Order: sequence, then structure tokens, then C-alpha cells
Amino acid sequence: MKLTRVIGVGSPFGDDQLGWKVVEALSNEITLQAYIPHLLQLKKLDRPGLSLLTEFQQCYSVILIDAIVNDGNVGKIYRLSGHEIASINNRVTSHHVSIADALELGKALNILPEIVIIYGMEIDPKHLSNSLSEQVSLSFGGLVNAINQKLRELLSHA
Amino acid sequence: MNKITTVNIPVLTRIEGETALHVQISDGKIQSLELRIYEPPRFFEKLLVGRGVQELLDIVARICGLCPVAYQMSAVQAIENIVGIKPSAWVRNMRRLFYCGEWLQNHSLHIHMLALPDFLGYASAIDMAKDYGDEVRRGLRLQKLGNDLIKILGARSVHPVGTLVGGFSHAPPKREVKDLLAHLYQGLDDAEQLLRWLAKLELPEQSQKFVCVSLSHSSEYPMNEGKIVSDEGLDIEIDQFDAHFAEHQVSYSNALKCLLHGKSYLLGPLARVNCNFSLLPSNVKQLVKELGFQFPIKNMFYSIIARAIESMLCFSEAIRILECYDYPESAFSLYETQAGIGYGCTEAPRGLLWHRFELDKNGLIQSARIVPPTSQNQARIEEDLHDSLTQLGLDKPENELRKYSEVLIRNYDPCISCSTHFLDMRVSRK
Repeated sequence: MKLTRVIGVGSPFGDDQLGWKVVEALSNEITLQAYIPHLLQLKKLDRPGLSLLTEFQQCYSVILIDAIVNDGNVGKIYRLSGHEIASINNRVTSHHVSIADALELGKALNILPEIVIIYGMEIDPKHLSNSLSEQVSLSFGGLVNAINQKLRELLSHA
Repeated sequence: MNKITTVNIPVLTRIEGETALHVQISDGKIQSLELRIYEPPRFFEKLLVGRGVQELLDIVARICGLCPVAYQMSAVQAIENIVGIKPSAWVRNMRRLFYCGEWLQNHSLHIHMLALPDFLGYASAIDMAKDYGDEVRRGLRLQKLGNDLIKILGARSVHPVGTLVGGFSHAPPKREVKDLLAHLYQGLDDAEQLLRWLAKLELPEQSQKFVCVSLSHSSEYPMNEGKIVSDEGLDIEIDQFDAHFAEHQVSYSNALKCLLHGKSYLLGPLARVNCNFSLLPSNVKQLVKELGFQFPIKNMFYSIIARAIESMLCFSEAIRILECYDYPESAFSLYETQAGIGYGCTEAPRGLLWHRFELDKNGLIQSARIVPPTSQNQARIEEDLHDSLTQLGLDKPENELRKYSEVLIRNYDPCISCSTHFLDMRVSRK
């Protein structure tokens, strides 16, 4: 049995809630219901820092979803895996306790799951409201679909 | 002709807030040394004016991402002093447990992510983990248990939300307590092994004269309550703080400097152990003596040892509290709002955190004062840097001065909130 855990990182405000919103959308996907919770687990975290590593226990694959501040192209979707993750730094993620650092430490300790993928979207950090900004909302469905597709691929081999 | 050297460290990262170090050396002596905390003022004390007490507890938790429990505990103590609540024995125990979680989380992060890479010669904990995997894994286990202790009462480990005036918003079910307790026994063993391992470290030998200040309690190692004491005879109630301690502003720093009778003093784990060694649990005292440590110790490099000692203390206390856990009839007491002035002072991981609030008859805050450990330690850090750099040799190369300053400042437990590198230091020699 190969467990996949999807972790949305964020907070309840503005575009920073992207990771949580994606997890909520995935939890409503009818096609995924049969896999929850034995093969697929969905979780929302707020600034996990190094305790992110404890969320990897017993997982074969982990998908992380986070809001990203990089080149200002709001709504742009990112997908990073393998060595690409090491290239991100504090300036890239909106969560300044770096996910990349936690992953690097996990790699040094040899405790990372077989598959780790980060999905992200460029957000507007100045958008302060209870809902997502217009540009992020427009790209939101595409991000959910991309993750859903990847999940079905992973779960078909579970 | 005078030789003038300026050591300029424009950004001290991996510490809470934004700070720089500027040292001017002339004729082989330090002429000025300034720890420049240039993080903009955050005006929390003004932000609180006009707010109700429950908002207060949520707002002060946001002051620091690493020690929100401390801010909530000092604030709730001050408010309860105004409204006349004496916490029940259950609430008192749970608050001590809450604090154990925060100390554990902070201490294990500092030991493994900040201090140990320095002492073992690595650039970062990530590099260190490649050679000391078991030790770093143990550190992560200790940190996780600290987070778990905070979560069981505060629902989450960052900015917890369970604290109320009079108690907590909920009581943990016995089943959750039982599950957590099982892990705490392993945690105590891990903490003991950590202390044994750290005792083998070769720490720099130095001794300085400084005053240690902490809370002191008649029957327990201080966390949530007590009198303010020093190892030079100070012994006062927390509402007498202003009669002995004075904050003042310096032109180069946005943080207020606090002095005791006009002099610097040390807060934090080493000061606490120095002032309260006899109140540590017997299992901890026995191990400390077996390992050959003799407190009081006036060497800041032994702060890492003090943190490991307090980690053992936290597990011992958490186990003691949870082994006797009973689900209460109520997790909080009701109270009636009233006007007045209240003081709170508890031991944050980095030392005394003093609060003073004034409420009006509607329970709204009229004035707030918060004196955090960082500003209280600021003068001591500067003195330590002055003495230690002089002892090291002021003609040393730039990199050596910078590295030594970094290590020394880390002894005071800078937060790791935001950065992955440390000093960007420039030296100009004239």
C-alpha cells in the first residue's frame, strides 16, 4: 500500500489561502473519495517549519501546495520536483520558514518520501481579503485539475 | 597616529527581528560597540488600547512566532490580577504544561539548528545532519513533542488559541493525554541522552562577571509565576519592576534598553538555572552533578547546557502533571469585568517577559506596557561582545571576528524566524 499525502500550506487570508483552498477542492472531488483515507490523505497546515518532516512519515508520495511570490506573474502555476526543489529559496515561497530548508534537512536525514512534488501559484501578496484575487481565482481550476490528474496517476499504482 | 578600525555587520539574521552590529576600534581598544536593532517599531502596546481582554490574548500571541505561549501567559496573569481570579489547580497545572511545550520547542530548535552547527563546525544544521543524523532526528523528536504539548491545549503550535482569562477553552480528553504521555517517556530518555552527549562538547572556556535575573518560586522551578530575583540579592514582587528596572532609548536602536539599577543583566536559561538550580527535579539535578557541571556558571557558552537541562526538566514536569491528569468539571472560571491595573511576569524561553495593563470598567485596555527579554538582554549582549572580542584579539581577521560574534550572539538564543544565512559583515580599516 502506497500512501499519498497532499499538504496545503497557507493561512485563512487573501491569496495565502491558496494551499488550503486547493485541499478543500480536492476533498470534494468525487473521483478521489474511494482512496480517502487509506491511500490518500489531505491536510492543511499553517507555517509548518521543520515539523513538516513529521508529516512525511509512512508516505510513499507527498504533494505540497503553497502560495508563491516570485516574478510577479500572478496566477502562474509552478510544479517542482526532485532537484528543482533545492533551487527554491526564501524569496520564492511566501512562507519564510522555508519549505526548501525542511526538504533539504529531510534529504540529509534520508527521511523524504519516494516522491515529493511542490505545486504552487504566483499570488498577489498585497491582496488582503477573505477571498482569492481575481487572477488567482482564474488559474485556480487549472491548478486543481493538474494536481487531480497527478493524484490519479499516483493512486493507480498504489 | 591612531589606527581606526570599523567592524560593521549590517544585517544580523537568524535572530528575532532585524539587527546589525557596529564596532569601532581604535588603538587596540573598542571605542564603541552598538547592537543596532533597526526593525521598525511595531506599536503593539498602542494597538492594544481600546481592545477587550480576549482580543488581547489573541493579539499578544502574534508578537512572537516562537514564544506565543509566554505572551499569552504573562497577559492572562496580569488580567486575572485585575479581575481577581485565582486559577484553579487544574488550570495552574495545564499552564505549566503549556509552558513546558514552548520551552521544549524553543530549546530543541536552538540547540540543534543554531548552537550545535557552531560548536561542531558546520555552516548549517543541514550540513550537520549529514554527519549527525541520529542526533538531529532526536532533536526533531524533541521539538515535535514540544509542539504536541502546545497543541493539546492551544489547538495549534503556532499562535495557539486555547487560552482564556480564567483557564482554557477546552480540556484535553483523557485518551489524548494517555497517548501523549506514552511519547513523553521516550522524550525524557531522549532529553537525558542529549544532555549526556552535550556534556562531551568542548565549549570555549571563559568567565565573565554579570548579574543573573529570573523569576523564583518557593516550591518549583519558575515558569508561570514567582518573584523577580537576582543572584546579587534582588528579591521583589513583579509589581515593583519599575522601581528597580528602567528602560531607556538609545539613538542607534529601535528597541528600548533595560537596565537593573543602571547595569546590564542576563535573562534566559543560564540565568534561570544559575538562580534556581536547587529547584530542578532530583533526577535532573543528579544527572547534572554526575556529568560534573557546577552551577552557577558564568560562561554564556554553557547556555546550550542550560537549555538541555531545562529540556529534561520540561519532560519530567510534563510527565508528572499528566500522570495525575483528571478531566475537569470546567476548563475555565467565569469572571466579572472590572477596572484596575494588573501585572504579569512569566519566564519566556529567553527570559522574563513583563506586562502591565490598565483596564477600564468595561474591560477595555487603557494602557499597555510589554518588556520582552530581547530588550532586557540587549545591554548584556553588548557587554559580552565587548569583553569577548577584546579577549579574542581585536586585530583578528574580519571573518574570525564575524564568526565569533555570531556564535556569541546565538548563545542568547536568537530566533530562527526568517533567515538561512547569518552575518553580512564588512570591515573597513583606516
